[in-house]
Amino acid sequence: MEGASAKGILSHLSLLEVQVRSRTTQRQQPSRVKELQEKTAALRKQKEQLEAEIQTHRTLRAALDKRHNDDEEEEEDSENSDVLRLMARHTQLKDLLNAHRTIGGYDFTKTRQGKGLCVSIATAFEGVYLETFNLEFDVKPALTLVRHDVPPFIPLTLLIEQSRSQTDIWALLDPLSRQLSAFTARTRQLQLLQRLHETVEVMESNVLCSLIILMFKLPAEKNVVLCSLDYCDTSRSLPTRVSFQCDDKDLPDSPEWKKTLLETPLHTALSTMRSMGNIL
Amino acid sequence: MDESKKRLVQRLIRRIPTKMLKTTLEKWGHLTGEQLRAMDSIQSKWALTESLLAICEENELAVKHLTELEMIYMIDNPDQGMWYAFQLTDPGDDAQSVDLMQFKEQFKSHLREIVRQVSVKIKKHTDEAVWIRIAWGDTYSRPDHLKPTYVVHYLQTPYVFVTRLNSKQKPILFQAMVLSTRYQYFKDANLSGRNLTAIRDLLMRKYQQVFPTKYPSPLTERKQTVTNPHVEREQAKPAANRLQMACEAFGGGTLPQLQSAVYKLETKFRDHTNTLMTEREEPFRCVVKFSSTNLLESLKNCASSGIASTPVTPLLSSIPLKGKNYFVITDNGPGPSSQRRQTQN
Repeated sequence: MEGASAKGILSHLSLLEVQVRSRTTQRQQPSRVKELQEKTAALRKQKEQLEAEIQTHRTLRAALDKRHNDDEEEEEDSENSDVLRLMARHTQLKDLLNAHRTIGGYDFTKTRQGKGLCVSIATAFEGVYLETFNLEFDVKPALTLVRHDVPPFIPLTLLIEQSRSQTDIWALLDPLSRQLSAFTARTRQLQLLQRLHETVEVMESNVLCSLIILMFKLPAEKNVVLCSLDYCDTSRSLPTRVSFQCDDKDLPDSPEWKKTLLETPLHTALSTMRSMGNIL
Repeated sequence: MDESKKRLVQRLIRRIPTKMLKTTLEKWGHLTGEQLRAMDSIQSKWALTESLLAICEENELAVKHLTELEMIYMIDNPDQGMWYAFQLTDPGDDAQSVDLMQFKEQFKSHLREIVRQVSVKIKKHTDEAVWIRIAWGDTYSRPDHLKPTYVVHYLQTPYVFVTRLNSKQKPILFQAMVLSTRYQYFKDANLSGRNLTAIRDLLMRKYQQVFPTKYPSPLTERKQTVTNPHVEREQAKPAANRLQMACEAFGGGTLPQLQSAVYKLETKFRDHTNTLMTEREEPFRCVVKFSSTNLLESLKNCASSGIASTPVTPLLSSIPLKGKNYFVITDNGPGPSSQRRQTQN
């Protein structure tokens, strides 16, 4: 009796199992099919949208061509003229931005759908473009600097503190741009000096290019002069202090040399001094 | 004295590869032309050692000349051994105007004040780096030239790169650096590697960084095997986006060569299915280490090929952004490492 009922239960259980299995497989198939169907519907919709867009572009182009060809067409399609005006303004603004960038203004780029801002600061000296530095900011909730490629000897954190640039980004960018331009200008002057004046030896310099010690040879007595250029104000590309050191006697022309070195870029100053026969 | 000289010569010959020996000896300038030619013709290291020892006797060269030779070799081949980066903070007003002469005098005098027996050599390299070689001694022993510490610093920057330094020597070096550069504090920058040039480029931002500007410089093209033109066309835009994001996170061009990145996790265990671990109060301590011959290049490749999801997670992009390769992650987010790492002896 028990055996029969056990067998009955077992068979019933196995029947139920089979039913459940068939039901799940059936459910899987339709759901997957449904998924794919929905996807195709979405893609079809997108295709229709794109086709509509292409169509509007075609009609607009045709209308523009028509206007261009037909001079006596007085019928002004007001919509088309508005679009044309907007397109003209758009091109004008793009040209303006291009010009702004060419003359070395800051380049702003919106990033991450308006949540970020990237600023490029270009530097130039004597009409030659030098390095460009970039800063990336987070705009929301407040203006915070995220990353940059400004070298560590430029006092960026100090400038940020001083500018309190939560509201006014120019308070940070203007002084920073001055420091960066001055730095690249000084480096460029040193490079030009080394290229154009091989007889002048650079005894000392540093990464910030704020202290340069040069050695000149005097023509007459075959003496050497050590010239120290101190750029105490790192936002300027000209030195604030110039001093000379010579073996024995005083240099007769040193006040003039000082003036030249304080007022003209390094390589030009040395060219002047050499052309006047002061140094070799 | 002779014994230590002998050991120093042995060490130098062992360390300097034979093909670099000639140029290094030439730069050293203490050998005559004949002696150089003699050295050049020898092949075996043992013979080279004997020959150099003989030349030292002949030319009356002392230990200080030999340490100069070692320094010349190190300066020309800095990408070996382990380098650790440190950072000087809170500059004083006159930190910007410290010049080389000032720094040299002050560093030597401050160091000698603290440790009587110490041998210091300072040399300025053409790329504005100041190289310092320190052989440490103490009250009972002379400076040990077999275990020197090399320090590299660029004046007017806050970074200092150091080779081996034990826990007793660290505070001495820190004090000397802080006083001679006119900064207030010295801390671990949590960046280390075998290439000095790599960690220096990372911290001084000398590698090419990529920013989302309207006029980007052209990115280096990647050679991809052409599979299916349809797949290519479909994937062109996503691939370009991934490459742009990878470059923005890690940089364009050649990346500084780091060998490892270590993340020390002190966060609570999170896994819904494992209540035994999540019930624990203490954080689950775990250390994850990434190693590679060129770590940043590998990570950039992961991002641009799609293996790692883009935008790149800040955990990975922090490596070049913060210039660190040792991070401690707590539940409040990645914070500054509060512990000093033990630098190896």
